[in-house]
Amino acid sequence: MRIALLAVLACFAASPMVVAAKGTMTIVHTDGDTNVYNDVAISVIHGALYMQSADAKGTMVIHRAACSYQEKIMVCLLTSATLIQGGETSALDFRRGTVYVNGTGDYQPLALSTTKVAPHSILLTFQTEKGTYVTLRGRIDKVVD
Amino acid sequence: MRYLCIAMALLFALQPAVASAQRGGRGGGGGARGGGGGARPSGGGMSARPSGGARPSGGNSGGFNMGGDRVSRPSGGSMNGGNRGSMNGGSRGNAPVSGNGNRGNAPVSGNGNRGNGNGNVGNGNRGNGNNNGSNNRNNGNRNTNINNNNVNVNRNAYINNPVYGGGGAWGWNHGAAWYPASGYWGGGFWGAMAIGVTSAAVYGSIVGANNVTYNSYQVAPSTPGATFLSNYQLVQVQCGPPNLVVVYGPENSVICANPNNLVQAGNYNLDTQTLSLAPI
Repeated sequence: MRIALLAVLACFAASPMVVAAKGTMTIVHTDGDTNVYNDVAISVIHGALYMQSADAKGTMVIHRAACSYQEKIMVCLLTSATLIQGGETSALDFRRGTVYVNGTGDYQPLALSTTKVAPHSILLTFQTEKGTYVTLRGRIDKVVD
Repeated sequence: MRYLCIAMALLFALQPAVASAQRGGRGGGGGARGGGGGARPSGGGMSARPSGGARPSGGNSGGFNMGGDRVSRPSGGSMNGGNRGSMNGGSRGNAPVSGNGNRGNAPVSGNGNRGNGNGNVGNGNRGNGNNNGSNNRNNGNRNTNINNNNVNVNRNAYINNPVYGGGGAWGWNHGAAWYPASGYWGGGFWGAMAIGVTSAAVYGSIVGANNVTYNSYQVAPSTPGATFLSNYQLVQVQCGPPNLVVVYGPENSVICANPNNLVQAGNYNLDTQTLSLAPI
């Protein structure tokens, strides 16, 4: 009985690892209003980064370029952001941004920072012309070359 | 025995309680997930935000609260391309491209006529010489030409990257191709400075052909540009003074550095594929 109980507990302890495969997006507006979105699905498809909300009603598409390596971290500058939502595809008034990709199986530190990027995860931040900051941190769920 | 029975009874009584507590825990987990959903509706709080009102219909029903950051023109799809096109066209199409060529060509042809020709006469350096040389030979300026030739021979030498020279294409970038990002000065090679950004440190300027002035900016650490400088042990300085190493990089960018034992003063084009220097 107790063995069964332990097995169930172990199962619950292990299950959050599956949930952790999703990302968390934070949007900070110029007026200080902040939105946090958990369980954002992160996919890299044909070089573009797709971030889909948990309710699947919004998808943000990011295009990157000028990718180079800082030690084992790949750093890319972002060139545009598009929002697919409510049946519309709209360009965001993108200003600038950077994405850090850790394709290794270990935690990797960012250059000149104490921040570490988790294995097979990304850290992304960009700013719109209006001044809204978007950050995303999480594990890449799917890669399609 | 009575105590044993009581203990047994307590044990059995507790067992289901523990189990139910676990089930309760599961329920709690579900609650947490529900809470996550709750956070999103708080994004729905965006509907209370002033900007939220400007969002298109359907935006409040879910997804991301970015309605206020959309490009404010009709039909986003075509507009998206329009924006990018105009930005790229602006930077690439500007005089920089033709200016670059003018900048490079002027000094090369100028020196070439004098130097190369002289080299053919004085040093018999046929490999580097050209038709201009035979013309100069008739001028009889041999001594002067020989000196000039020495300078030109050095300038004509392609300088392989001291660190990644034998690494093949993109060896400096783990073998991954690097291509410029539009909207950033130098395509992002020197850092994430957006074109036209005023917060970046200006590091002097170069006046090219047609009196076009090109600003130079401070190279950011941990960038391909910083790797390049490190490979050649170059230290960036402000552009403007004479006798500097002037390096023309991607997207009409330029930086300057003091010459050293690896790189003489002069104008160079940077090959981003190999991080090597080609004299202009």
